[in-house]
Amino acid sequence: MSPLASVRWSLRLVLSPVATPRPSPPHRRHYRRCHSVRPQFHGKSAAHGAARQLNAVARSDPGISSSSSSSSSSSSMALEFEVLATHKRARAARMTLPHHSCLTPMFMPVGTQGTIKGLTAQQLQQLGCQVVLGNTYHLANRPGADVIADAGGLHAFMDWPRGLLTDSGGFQMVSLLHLADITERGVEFQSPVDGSRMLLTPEESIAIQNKIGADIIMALDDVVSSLVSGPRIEEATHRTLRWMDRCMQAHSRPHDQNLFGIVQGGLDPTLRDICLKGLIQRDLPGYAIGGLAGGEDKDAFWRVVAQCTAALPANKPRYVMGVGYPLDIVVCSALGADMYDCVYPTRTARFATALIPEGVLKLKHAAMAHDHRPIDASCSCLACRNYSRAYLHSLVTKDPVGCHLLTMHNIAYMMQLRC
Amino acid sequence: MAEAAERNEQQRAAAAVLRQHDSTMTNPGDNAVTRQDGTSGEERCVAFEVRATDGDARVGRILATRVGDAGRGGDQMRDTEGQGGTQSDAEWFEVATPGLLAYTRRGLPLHLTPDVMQTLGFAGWNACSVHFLESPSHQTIAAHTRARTPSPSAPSHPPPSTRLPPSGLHGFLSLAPATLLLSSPRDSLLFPGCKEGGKASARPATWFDTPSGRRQVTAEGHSAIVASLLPHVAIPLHDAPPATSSLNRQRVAVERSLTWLDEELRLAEGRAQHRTAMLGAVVGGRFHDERRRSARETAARKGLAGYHLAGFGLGEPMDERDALLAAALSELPPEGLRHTSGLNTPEEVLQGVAMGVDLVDCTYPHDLTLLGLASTLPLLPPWWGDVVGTGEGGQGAKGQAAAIGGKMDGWVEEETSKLNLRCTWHKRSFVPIAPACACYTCARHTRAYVHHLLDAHEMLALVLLDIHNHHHMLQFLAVIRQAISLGVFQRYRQWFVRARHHEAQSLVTAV
Repeated sequence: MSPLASVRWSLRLVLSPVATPRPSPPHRRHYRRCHSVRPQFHGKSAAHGAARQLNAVARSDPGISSSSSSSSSSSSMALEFEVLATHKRARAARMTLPHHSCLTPMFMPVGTQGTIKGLTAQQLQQLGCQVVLGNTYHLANRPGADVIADAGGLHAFMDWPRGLLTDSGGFQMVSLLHLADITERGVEFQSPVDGSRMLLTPEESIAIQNKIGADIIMALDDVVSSLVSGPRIEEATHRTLRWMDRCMQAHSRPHDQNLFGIVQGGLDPTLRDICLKGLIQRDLPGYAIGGLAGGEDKDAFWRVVAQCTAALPANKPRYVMGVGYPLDIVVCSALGADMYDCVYPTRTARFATALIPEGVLKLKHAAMAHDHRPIDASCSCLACRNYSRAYLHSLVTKDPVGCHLLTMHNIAYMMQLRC
Repeated sequence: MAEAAERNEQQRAAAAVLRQHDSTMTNPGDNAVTRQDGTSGEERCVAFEVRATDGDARVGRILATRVGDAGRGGDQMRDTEGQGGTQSDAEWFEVATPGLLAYTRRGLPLHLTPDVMQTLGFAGWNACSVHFLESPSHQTIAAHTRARTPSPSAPSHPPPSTRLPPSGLHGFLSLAPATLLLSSPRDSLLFPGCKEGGKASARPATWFDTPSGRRQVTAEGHSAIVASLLPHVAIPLHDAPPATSSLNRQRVAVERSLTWLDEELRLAEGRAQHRTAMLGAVVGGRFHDERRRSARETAARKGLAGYHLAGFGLGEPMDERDALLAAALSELPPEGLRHTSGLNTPEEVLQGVAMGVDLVDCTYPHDLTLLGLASTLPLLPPWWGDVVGTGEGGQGAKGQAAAIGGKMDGWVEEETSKLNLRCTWHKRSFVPIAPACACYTCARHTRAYVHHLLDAHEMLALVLLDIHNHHHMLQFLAVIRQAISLGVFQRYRQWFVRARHHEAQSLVTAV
């Protein structure tokens, strides 16, 4: 499919009705860590409502060109970003990294501890994954940055020949908040594994990421949960910029690792603007939009994304962190974002939920026991080509191989979403 | 053209072997039978021939019919079996014996997805029939088969290909066409003992531990499961109590097993299910007379393709097993296929093969994987190079030995037969598990990585270890086959056992 057609297809999805999952009961909401929030509105009006609002934004924003392909590109020492086609605010681009040339918009599966859970590197390649995530905090714990450096970097350690991106450990400030002590110096964590203390400063985070050797590394930002309000957010916004300078100072491999800045500021447009201006001024190879996908209202979520993508330079990649629901990815792509990561597709697979064009398929449901159709007739993954829902129903959550098959399907679904 | 002629020749030879084993098969292409209930039946052709012997040990081959086309399931699964089996229009495929069957649970292996399984050269898959009592139930599989089998009365139905249509478990799981499927009522990994179902009552029943809990299974029920699975080879329901059972208990077990065998044969005949080859189960525990009696009576039944030596690995000492195997095998015809399970270490596999077993279910690779251990068994003795070099077709044999992956001058890397990859020694060990190993794990990953995965409790650790351990075990079987072909099996066995014993001694004295 041509890039232009792919962008148009993404928008078509937004405009067509899609099944929306029910909102989760209150006691489950604490499980939502970095994932996208389920939309607060229901039924067919969901996508229509979103589309209406998007069109309103597109019409009102004077900076948007509605013409076809414009060639805007950027290149720094380790990254080349070339926009191949645009449609309103959405764009299809090629991003060339030291290890791989990627097509965006793209979804990046999360392999926190140096592996996507249960899948081999060869299977990931066959599924079409372009960039995989690793996590600085967890990898520094086990196996340790020095071990990875001795192995020749994470690429060699996990034998992944394509792109890698490492998160700075900033998100753990939210997910492991009860184990974190945040000061101007950095974040002091108590390890969930053995209780030992670890001080993660911007310098330390960058040093670890330099040893890990990913193509894209993230600056350590002061992350605040989007559900928090008050002066803490302003403090975090300014601190993020100060830490950004320290990260840039500490970065020892700008020639083969791209340091992305992360826009913070909570849900406050003024604070976001301050952070945006500050990061753009620092002329980074790419930018991420952080502090979202943590349980905030959907209306607020897309507004922040829209503000950020409007302000960020068009010739550099935009990475919305933690965005994983397919609908959210489509919406953010329509708003002009390029890269996404989330544990949702792989985690939900391990809990017997398959992603399909119509929504989600809960394979543990009793109705699946007699359904001889594949999960998704249009999917060409191993699970859909060979097994029926009835068989997978009996296998999932009981045997490891069932979980692997569903993980393969969900990743295959996310990969073909970008097409 | 030369290859095509050679393949045709092999096909003709295979057909000859199959015809010899079954005089009712006149036309290899004619494999549709009509059952009594009017639906079209299935025929699986299985034949076994012994090719060479070394003492009691033998190498042979199983010829089995392919199931299904290289269509829905087969196109992404390469056929790795046999010399004559890489063409899509070939009817049969070959499996070399002695061979190792893959353990499966609910039809699929525990950790390995089918694309990975295809890269390992298993003789076949062992599907435990009692896994299909519920979730997935055999009725679901039968319904799936009915839904996919075209009606024979349809006028536009294309002429049947020489292959069997995908049905049973093959179709349900989209198994590769060249997958030998064997069904057994016992789960060789869990390997439950049988719960006493009361005294030898008028309606004998057996309780089985299944993934769905403890279930009662009768011969009739088991026969229905096998009819839905449609494997190439089926082991009937049998009664194999633990080795501590008394003589009376074993007598009852022999009687029950024969009753159930007769019942299943009768029911299979009624279904016109000629071609799911049945193996007769030989039980009898630790009593030689009972073993002989069971073997004699079982051998007297007509229509069996081979024999399952049941009741091993249930607590009998390894020293006694030779005599028990000999007692059972003395009454069995040599041309039948012999299968056994419960021999779960490499030495026990050698023992079984030495007595004449052809197919084994060995849980050694799984046991290692689940403990985080990697198999580094020394496979080739120091004198292997000389033996192989002087054999016939020296170049080919040498190439084979090299392909097996061992060093020609013996094992120098590791002095022990397994690595504990949880040990922190391996934290910075950036070498493969076994340097000469050709498996995926050793080709692409290091000990440090697997150690990290185990440390981080990641599932990929088990996947990678499973790949390596199974690959290593399959290489072991390949060496065994080659040793028998070259006539050095006894010598090889002595070297292997002595090397392991020496290792155990050295570890003891080191402490």
